[in-house]
Amino acid sequence: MKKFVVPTLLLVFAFYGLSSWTTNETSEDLTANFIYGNPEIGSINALSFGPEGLLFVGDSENAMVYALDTKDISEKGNADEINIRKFDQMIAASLGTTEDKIRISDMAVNPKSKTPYFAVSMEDGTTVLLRLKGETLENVSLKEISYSKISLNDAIDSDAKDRRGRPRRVWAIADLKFHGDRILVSGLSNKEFASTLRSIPFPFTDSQDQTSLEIWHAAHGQYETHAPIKTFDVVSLNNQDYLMASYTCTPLVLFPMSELENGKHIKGRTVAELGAGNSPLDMISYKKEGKQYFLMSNTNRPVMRLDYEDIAGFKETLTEPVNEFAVATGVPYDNLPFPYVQQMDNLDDSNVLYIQRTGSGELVLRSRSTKWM
Amino acid sequence: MDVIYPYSIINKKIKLSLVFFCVALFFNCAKNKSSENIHVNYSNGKAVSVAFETEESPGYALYLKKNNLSPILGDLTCEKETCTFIPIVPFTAGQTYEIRKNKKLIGSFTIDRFRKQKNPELIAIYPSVDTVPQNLLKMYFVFSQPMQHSKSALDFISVFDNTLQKESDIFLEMQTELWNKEHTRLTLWLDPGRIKTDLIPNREKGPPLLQKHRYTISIDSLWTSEQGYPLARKYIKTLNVVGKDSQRPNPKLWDVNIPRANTKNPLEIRFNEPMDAVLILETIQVKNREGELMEGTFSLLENELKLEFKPKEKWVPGKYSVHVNPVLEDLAGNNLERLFDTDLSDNSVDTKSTENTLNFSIER
Repeated sequence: MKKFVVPTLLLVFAFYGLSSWTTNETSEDLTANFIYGNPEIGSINALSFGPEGLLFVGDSENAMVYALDTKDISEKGNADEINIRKFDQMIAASLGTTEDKIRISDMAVNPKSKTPYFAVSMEDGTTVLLRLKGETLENVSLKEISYSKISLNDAIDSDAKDRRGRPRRVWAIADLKFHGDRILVSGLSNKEFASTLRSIPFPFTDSQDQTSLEIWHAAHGQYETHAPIKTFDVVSLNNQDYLMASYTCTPLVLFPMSELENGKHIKGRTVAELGAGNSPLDMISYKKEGKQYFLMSNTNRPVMRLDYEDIAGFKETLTEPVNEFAVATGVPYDNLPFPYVQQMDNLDDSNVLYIQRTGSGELVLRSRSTKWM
Repeated sequence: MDVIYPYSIINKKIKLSLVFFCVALFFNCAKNKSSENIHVNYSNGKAVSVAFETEESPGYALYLKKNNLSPILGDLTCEKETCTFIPIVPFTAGQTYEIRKNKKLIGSFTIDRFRKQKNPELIAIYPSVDTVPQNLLKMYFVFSQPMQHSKSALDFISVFDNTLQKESDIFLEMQTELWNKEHTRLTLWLDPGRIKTDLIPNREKGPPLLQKHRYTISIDSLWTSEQGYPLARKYIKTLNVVGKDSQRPNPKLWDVNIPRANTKNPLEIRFNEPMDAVLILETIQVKNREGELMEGTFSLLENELKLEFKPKEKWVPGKYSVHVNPVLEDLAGNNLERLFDTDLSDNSVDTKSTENTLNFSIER
């Protein structure tokens, strides 16, 4: 499957993927190659839900992506309101320890049951997966679970060299999302400063694509940028899917999904720059009064809101550098009055769930209607 | 009666107090008795479960001492007169726990602190040199033991600009920290958005390091290992910032010291600038005339300015080559193929690809 680069084959695959998706694949089809047991997860760095209660887990320590069958598939229309104070202390208490010995490394809400899941890493590196049912935390066993997994090191052409004795590269998984019939994974190298995006078909086979992404930035677009993607989402503009990526150096960039092919080096267009001293954390989209918006949380900035129409209306050609005017302004964004939001996900169609450090230093888990966002 | 009345009240009070005292004594005794019958099971120095004897039916929950936020998650099994609780993660050393039934305290226990292990040490900081280019991109911190996973590394690292006499935040704060698999080596980036010319972070805040400034990086001794032991001491690293490095690494500018035939003497490669300490050991290969990979060991010396290759077998006369993977970076993140910050409109910038093979011969 390494000769997957042939574009026609890719198209066939894409068509196959699309058709299998539209034929409403059942849960059994998706989990046909799952096994029951201990997936031996080293660390959970990113969580993202797919269909039918399937939870995708990015493990930087082992450079693996897992699909876990949570069997949490009772459908729920609207989520209950959530407002838990001292949430880090609550998690620590459930693990018999204090909040200084835990870190909430990611949060994802199961879109089917509206149950929030939390990846927690302990001081000694132990990883735990918890979920919140009502106001009670539950453990999701990572030792006895139905799963399938794929290594990010395998099936990558560039790693052929590594078989001649060099250590394989370690990719810290920065973000991971399920889209259509694929898992998209962005990675940060702990060595080279480079940008790579993996696209992995699901159910897992032994194939995966790797694309190197490049962006233009700054006035007159004369600078090229190789930088790692921190978080991303997929946005549909004029009937075409785009990867909307936010970089460690803060530009917000669009890449046409159709151009993401194995081994290809593609250039995106910068649509916005989001300010200094900041690293993006999470990106989600939601609809309000028929309009679509994106929310992005950041390490040192409040949550930013971008309007879909502003992005769609940003009509620069994709491979040309953006002009000076566009860079000076970019797509406008609003700063929402939510600073220090550490985790964020859609709770249901009209609510967002987030973990925030308040002014008094307390960590709260809260849901909020998108009406107010 | 007037006299007896108060006495009667006092008498009643005494009786009531006695009842309270007895009840308290009973609960206290019950608690102590229960505590004696609580056994914490240790495995590899970790408190993995607790067993307690009981005559009552199950329905117990474990909590942190004086904490009602959440019961501890785990498996409770009761057989005959013994209940065993296995928490999903081992109990924490030094922590006191309570066994409760219907919110009532039944007993408590404290986890032992084991014999003190060695404190972790910060064994290397790269670049090892103090003089660095203004566009220094990353630093590595290497520890003798795996370090803790719960707090941010930047909670323990502070940077002081000695020239301006103020704190400076040069490193990019990231949710996904860049550790190696063993959790002994941390990579920190100097905020890349501030290094790249004309990005908004660069325009708003300027580059993270300023030329001719001196910085002191302090690594706090409160930083703990995975096992919870703090660093042996506080560590200090100085940076003296010089001009920008706007040249790609060029193997043609390196000196190669060729060993003599029939020896196992090292092949010495001396760079014209310090290289990335981690990448250099992974991006260089030595091949013989047939293109076969030579077996041997690499050592990085003299502040990342010199690399030695000691062959496994003696050198045989003939032609050899050193191959450099173009992803090799210098301290500024420039690799063999591109500068970290490239101005494509500047025609004076050399965009030709750099030769990445050095040939040498070993004479008889």
